[in-house]
Amino acid sequence: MLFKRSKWIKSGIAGIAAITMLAGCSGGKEPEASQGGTSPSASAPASAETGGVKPELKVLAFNVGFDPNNDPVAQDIETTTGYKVHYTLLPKDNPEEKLNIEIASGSNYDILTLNPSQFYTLVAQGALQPIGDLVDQYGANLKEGISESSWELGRYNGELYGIPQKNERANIEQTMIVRQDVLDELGLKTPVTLDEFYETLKTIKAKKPDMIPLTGNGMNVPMVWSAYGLYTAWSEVDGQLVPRIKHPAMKDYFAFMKKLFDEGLVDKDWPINKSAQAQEKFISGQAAMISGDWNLASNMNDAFKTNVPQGKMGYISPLQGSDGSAGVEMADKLIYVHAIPKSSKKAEDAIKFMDLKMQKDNFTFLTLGEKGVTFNEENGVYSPIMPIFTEKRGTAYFFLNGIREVEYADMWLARLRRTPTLFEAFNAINKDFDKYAKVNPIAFMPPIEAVGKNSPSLSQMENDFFLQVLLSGEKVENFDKFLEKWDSSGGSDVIKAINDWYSTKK
Amino acid sequence: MKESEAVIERMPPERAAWRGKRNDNRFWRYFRSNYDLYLMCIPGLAFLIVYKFTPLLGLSLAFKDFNLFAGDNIIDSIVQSPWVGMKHFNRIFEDEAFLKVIGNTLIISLYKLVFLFPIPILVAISLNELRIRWMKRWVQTIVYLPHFLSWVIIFGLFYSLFGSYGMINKLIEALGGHSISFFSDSSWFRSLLVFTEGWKETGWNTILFLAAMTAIDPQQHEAAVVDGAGRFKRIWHITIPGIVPVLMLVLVLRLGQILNAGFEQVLVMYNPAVYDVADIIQTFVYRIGLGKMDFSLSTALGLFESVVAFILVYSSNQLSKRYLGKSIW
Amino acid sequence: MNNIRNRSDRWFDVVNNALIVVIGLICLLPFLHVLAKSLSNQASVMGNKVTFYPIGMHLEAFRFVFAHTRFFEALQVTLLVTVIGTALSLTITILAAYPLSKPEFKGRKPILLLYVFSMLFYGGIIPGYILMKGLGLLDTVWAMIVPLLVVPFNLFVCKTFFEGIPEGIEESAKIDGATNFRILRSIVLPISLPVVATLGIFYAVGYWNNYFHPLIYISSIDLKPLQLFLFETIANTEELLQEQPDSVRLSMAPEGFRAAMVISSIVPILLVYPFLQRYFVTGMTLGSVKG
Repeated sequence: MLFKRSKWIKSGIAGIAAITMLAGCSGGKEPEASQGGTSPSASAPASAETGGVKPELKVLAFNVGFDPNNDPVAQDIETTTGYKVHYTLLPKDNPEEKLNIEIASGSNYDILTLNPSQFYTLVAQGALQPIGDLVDQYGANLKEGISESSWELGRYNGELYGIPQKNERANIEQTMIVRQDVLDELGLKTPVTLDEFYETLKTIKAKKPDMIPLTGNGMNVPMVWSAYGLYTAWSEVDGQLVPRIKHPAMKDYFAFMKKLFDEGLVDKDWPINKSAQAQEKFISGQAAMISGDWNLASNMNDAFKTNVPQGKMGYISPLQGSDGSAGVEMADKLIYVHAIPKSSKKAEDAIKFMDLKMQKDNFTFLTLGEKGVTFNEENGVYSPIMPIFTEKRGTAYFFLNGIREVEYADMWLARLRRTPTLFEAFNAINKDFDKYAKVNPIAFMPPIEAVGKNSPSLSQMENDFFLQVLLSGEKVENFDKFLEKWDSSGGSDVIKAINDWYSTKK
Repeated sequence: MKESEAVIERMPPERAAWRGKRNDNRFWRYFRSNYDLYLMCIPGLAFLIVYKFTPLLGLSLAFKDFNLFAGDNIIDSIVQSPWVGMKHFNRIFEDEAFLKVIGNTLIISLYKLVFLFPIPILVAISLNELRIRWMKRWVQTIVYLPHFLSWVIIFGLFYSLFGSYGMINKLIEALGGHSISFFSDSSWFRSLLVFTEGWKETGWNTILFLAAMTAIDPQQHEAAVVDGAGRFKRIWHITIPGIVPVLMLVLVLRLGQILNAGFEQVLVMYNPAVYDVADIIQTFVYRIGLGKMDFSLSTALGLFESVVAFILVYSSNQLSKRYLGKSIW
Repeated sequence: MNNIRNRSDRWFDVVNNALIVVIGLICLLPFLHVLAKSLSNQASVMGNKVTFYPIGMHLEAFRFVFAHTRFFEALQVTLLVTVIGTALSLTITILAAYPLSKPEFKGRKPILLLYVFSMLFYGGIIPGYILMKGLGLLDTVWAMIVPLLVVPFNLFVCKTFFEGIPEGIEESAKIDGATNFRILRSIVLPISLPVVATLGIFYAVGYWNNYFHPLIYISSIDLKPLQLFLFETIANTEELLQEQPDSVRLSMAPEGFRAAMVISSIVPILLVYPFLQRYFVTGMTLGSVKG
């Protein structure tokens, strides 16, 4: 009866040893390392810097599903620039917490790849070092590739604190994905005006009572916003910048959506849905329309085609308002900023490193690979050679520290071409780019503390109010009261800060 | 004490002084003969002091405006951040929504306590009385499974069951009724919260009670059977009293957690339509502090919850001591 | 014991068994649903057609998880943490609970109050981080073990069980001159197996599922434990899949991937639990010692 416990421990250990051995045997270590990593041929990189031992740089960046330290692109970067780099990833969940703690405790990173709001927070608190002089001295390629209006996005109080990385190419992302086959079956044409849209929904509901005409979640339906002139997040009204929520037509939008909801033209669970639930309804064939972007269209495509063999995806363009005008905000914005924490002693090397990657040939090599091997180019049209392009450069997007804005706009299309459905969706939605694309006046606004601090909770408030209106718990009449609350919760600070900036622009 | 005093009086002076210091003291006597007990305490206490208590100094952040970058490093930043007294607490307390939110927290928590405290006990009794060995083992394992699912998954699961187009509503409509929006209807949502938590945790919560039941001396049951007592009588007079100590422990600690209505669960499952009944303290503060990295605010909230919890645990333990003779300490 | 079964007893059994079956089904069916999803093809999962049995079943999801991700590395980390952690935790907790279970133990009340206090008050993430950094434990396996070494609730449970042991047994040993330590080891423990097993489960599951401490304290990819790894891979699923050739992509949906990972993390616990079930049998305790 003694030592029963140790017997238990022994058998426990035996069991665990067995499991671990099983784990070791059945393919634990895997192909990650074996994905190429051959050194580039002579024609590719411009110059691998030699001379002197270069220090190792440490990068802290956003979460991805692969290990950047064992990646073919990382290896090529090392060969091309001569710098050894160690990558650490932030967590997926609530990365700001970890980011702030690490930086504050003086962890030694040299380059931080931050999203705009992370950048705003850190720069406002003095956690980053100014890099203006270093860029002037060592950043010739960086200055060549990045436009002046973009540089503005990395400045705070006049000083440069980060290398701004815009999205790859100005384009329209948003659309309304619709069941083209259902429209055809019911003899309906793709709606162009708001009234036609409404009628289409009604017809679908009448003729196909088991279907949900429109599903979705949250507050945003850009194609419907278009009909109310609510094109961009901020717009100029009487010389002042006004947020969408305060646009005079916003109330009408709320009322319209409420009408749709009350008439059963919209998913009853809209207020409860997370995006996953809404997507499931479209994919399973239950819903006829869903608001989304071209990425979504492509992601849903495989499963959609299998579930609904006769299904066809169509796209509704921004709906026209009573005066015939329509539009949608184009995506032309900052997506990342690469900054250097105050504690780093290798700022000069960090800038040199990023500059080397921006050198024209290096840049092409590191983003697309070798011409003829991983990609082809003809008359400015870039296309990937599959599957090797994905093997060697699939993860390249993670390693970007800024893009050559002019060239990359076209190069990036090669990445889209990897997935035909993705490319198709992108093209379909962007075919009338010039007609519909609208510029957001604050698209190139540098970080402002009041804005960064208050925006998330304000968005949440707007979203909540909208959903409450849908479910009739709230009245549209209370809109003004809601706006008062919005103002006092930081909204007026934001408006003031933005307009202060705007007045300097005019 | 008297005895030893008498002894000391009869001793030569030097020895008396010495002995008085040592033997007079009950503590030292106990310590000498049971020093190994005190040795046993050491690892636990070391852990407490190093890991649990030193960080409590950080509670001072609740009374400061913490700026992570105020100093050269984090510790310096804590020291350098300015004192603001009750500012963060006021921010929470003075918000007009606060009373509502505290109310929701208490109601949901009590709702859960009333329904979800007894059920694991009943299920444990049920399992304990099961005569079919293999069934007992299997079902035991099965009821633990839901505990391991995350709330995100459980939300998805119950959405397909209780959503507006879900199985339950299909059934209701087939029976001629009107569909119910369980997730967005204020009169149903709290029940949904209780039900889903019950599904998730009941099985797991039986473990403790089952263990307690197996610790009851089987001879008691044997004797009762010989005396002709039926199942119910035996459960009532032997099983239940046998698990009372554990029961009281769980109850008192659970009461102390009254401000904890299930943050993760509510956050995943709620939506603006049911804020008025389901917005609890933690979700409310979460939304205020969204994206703001306000450590001071969250520390203040945590401190508030801790103080309330301590008061409740202390009081309920005193009540338990007075009326049932059972105390945690 | 079993021969006297009157009618009410039999009724009881019938109802009880039925009740147990219902409870079992309520817990099992939704779980089967999650399992089915993990084994189904992408289209069915995303189309929400999966109920309780897999559709278009194939093991692609599992194969992908095991082969293309750091699943096994993460599993090893978690195993290490769980085994070491549980062993240490059990030792410390039992040692700490035993003296506190003796009413005459001097210093009992203050120490117990200290534990209660530590259970209810939390210093915050930042102080915790500073402490770990100061102890040099950041980015090590210990950062995942130390925070969970003693869970006060478990300690109280242990103490409660020890208190339930009749004094007579320990008294007689004491009279024979045994030290407290000897009594704990040779007499109290063998009859406390239900509580040791229970605490073992609680601690083991606590270590296994712990996600919060690794999130803050661990940065190296090599040291990421299973739960953290699962969460991040699930969150990155779409992107992860985009990198894969069509054959893999078409066979999995993020939902299925998610389900696959949930299952993978539970299976080990299910394997170990049957081990421990035998300690939950009545009569293990006092009866066997009486003689």
